Order: sequence, then C-alpha cells, then structure tokens
Amino acid sequence: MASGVHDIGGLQGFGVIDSKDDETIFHAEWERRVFGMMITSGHRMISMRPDIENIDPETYLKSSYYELWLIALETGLVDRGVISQEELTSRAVDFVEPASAPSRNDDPGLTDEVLKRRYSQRSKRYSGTPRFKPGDRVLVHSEQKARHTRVPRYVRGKLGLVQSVRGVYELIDLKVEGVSVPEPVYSIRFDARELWGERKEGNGSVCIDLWDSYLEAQL
Amino acid sequence: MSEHHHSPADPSIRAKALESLLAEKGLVSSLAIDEVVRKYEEDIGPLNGAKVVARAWVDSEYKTRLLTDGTSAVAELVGYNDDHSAELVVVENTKEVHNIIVCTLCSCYPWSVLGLPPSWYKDHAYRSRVVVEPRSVLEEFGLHLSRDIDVRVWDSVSELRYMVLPERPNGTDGMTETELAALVTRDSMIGVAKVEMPPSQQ
Repeated sequence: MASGVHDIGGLQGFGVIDSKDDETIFHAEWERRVFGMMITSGHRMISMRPDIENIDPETYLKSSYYELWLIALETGLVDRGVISQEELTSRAVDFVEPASAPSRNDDPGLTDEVLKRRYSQRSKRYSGTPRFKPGDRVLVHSEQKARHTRVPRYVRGKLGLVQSVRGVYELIDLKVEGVSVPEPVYSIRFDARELWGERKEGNGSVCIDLWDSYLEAQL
Repeated sequence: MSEHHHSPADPSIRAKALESLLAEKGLVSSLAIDEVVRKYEEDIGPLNGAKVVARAWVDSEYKTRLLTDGTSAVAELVGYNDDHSAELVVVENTKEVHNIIVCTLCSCYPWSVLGLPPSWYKDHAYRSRVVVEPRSVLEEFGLHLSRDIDVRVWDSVSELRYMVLPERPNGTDGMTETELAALVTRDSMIGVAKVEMPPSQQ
C-alpha cells in the first residue's frame, strides 16, 4: 500500500514556516470541546489517527488542525454505528442560533473513570525478546501492507542503524484493527545521505522508532 | 442585528451537535471535557519542561535518570500529568550534537512536559521540511549552527515522545534552579532555539 497525504516528511512546496505564535492554545470554544471529546472518548470509541488519515486529501490539506479532529470524530463515530449522519445533520439545526448551548452529561461516575484512566498511572508494559541489538544494520521494508502504519514513506527501503531497544509495544497497524501483537520497538538512525542523497546541508541524521516487523536484518 | 446565525456546516455548530448527541447517549462526560481543557490551558505547559531542564542542569544524578528513563524522572518533578501510553525520551544537546523534534505523520508532541504544540509544529511546512533541511528550518527560527555540528532530527512517529534537553548557557553559574527554569523556553525544548541569557544579564 502506498502512503496517504498525511505522510508529508520530505515533500517540497509547503513554503516558509510561520513561526509567529500567539501562545493561544485554543482559538475558539468549539476547538476546546472537540479537543476534550477526542481526549476523553478516544480510547473507547474511536481510533483517532486512522480516522484522520481517511479524510480525503483535498480536505486534509485545507482544513485546520481541530477541523481534522472534528471530521475524524464525526466520520469515525458514524462508521462504527455509534451515531448516524442523519442525527448529526438534524441536531445541527438546533444550534444555528449562536447562543444555544449543547446538552451536558455530568455523570460523576463516568467523569471519574475518564480522568483516572488518563491521569493516574503509567500504561501496561509488555515483554518480548528483541531480534536486533544496538549497532545492527537494518533495512526498512519498502512495501507496507497495513491500512494504518507508522513507517513514513521517506525511510521505506532505506538502511538504518539500531541505536537502542525502546521497549515492547502493541504493533499499531494491528492494534487499530483490535488485535494485540506486542513487538519490540527500536530507535533507528538514518544518515541524511542515505535518505536524501548528497545535500548541501551536510552531516546529519534522522532517528525514528520502528516496530520489529517493519524491519529486516541487513548483514 | 449584531449576531448572525451560523451555517449548520460551521465547525462550531457541528461540535455542539456532536457533543449533545454523545452526552445524551452517556458516551462523554461534559465535566471530564471541562477538566481536560482546563488542565491544558492552565496546568500543563512548558513550565513543566523548564523545571525538568533546570533540575537536570543543577543535579547530575537527576540528569542521568532523566536521560535513562524520561517518564519516571519527569514524574518525580511534575507527576503523571498526562496520558502515559506514550513514554518520554529526553535527548541532550551538546557542543557537538543538536537535536530537534518533529512528527511527520501527524503532530505527536511531549504533552506532559510542553503542553499542547504551537501551530507551526502542526503545520505542513515544518513537518515536511525539518527532516530534509533542518539547518534551513533552524535559520528561519534565527538559529545558525556551524557546519561541524551533528544535527539529529527525531521523528516521533511511534508511542514514544521526545523532548530536547538544551545546553546550559554560559554565565549562569551563580543562578538558582528557579532562575534557571525561567530562562528555558518551549522552543529550546523542541530544539528550534538555544537557551539564551536575557540581554540585561549578559
């Protein structure tokens, strides 16, 4: 499978970086609510990144950050049958008057559960035996089969050096399909010349954490 | 009439419709939404990271713990204040090595120490360019690195998050940990700036 439009590392043409920053975290009340809905419901109801990646390329490129979150919530929840598009459309009519407030659910039990899950502890650890050790050379598979994966296009088919074993994590490609396959994750360092060829920028490298099954040994 | 009606396609309308449906079905807690928003607006931000950096500058044993197990070392100072399905890795800037963080696939960012990311971190320009031309990107932020410095870009695409431990500036020997923390900027912990002495103290 090729890459989606979200996989933009190394693409040209996006221009200069607008580093001006007013340090405002949210620019509208709806951004606060969309952020909160995603954060507090994320683990149970939706899978945020795949839902964002499913947004069509044109919409993806022209939408603001929290618009993408809102679209991902809407389409993810509709796809999973949690709500229907008809419900969303008909409910929206109730709010064309800007002063009208949304319904609330102030159930203390659910509130506790959500906040405890998010803020109380480190998550579950997995164990597993790493196939590679620091100093090993590895090749990233050039073909990626999963619908959702975390191998950026620009490292596919490239040679890297294992720097460290980061731990064992559920392979995200399958976790988003509801299947738990814990695998070692490695920090892999790629020389800039391996990724981009000889460049005027000179020395440097990119380091990425990759799951075991993205890699093959290179002797 | 000063207030106009919004189109039903407006995000502000759609967000209200969505929240109402989820609240009525008992699937979200409005109080929990209020609380996470408040936390990221008021409690969780770069001040947490700055505390961590200042402690690492004055306490070498803490610095070792921080570079070995960032998640635990940060929790010592600021608690487990964020979703820790992601582990934190801290990478150290030195005279020879300069580190920068990015997420090219979305916008993964070390929320527990820096709060929510600035707009430019989430924009296409930064995400697409910093892996291929980090020095040009740093120039746009006003940071000029000499040719012999090894630039390392950390593309945080898995379940780990990264923070840069910036270099302690010269001339800060007599400063307290609190004074040091006040020098540490968010951008220096992303790696697009160095920590500088304020002009009055140089």
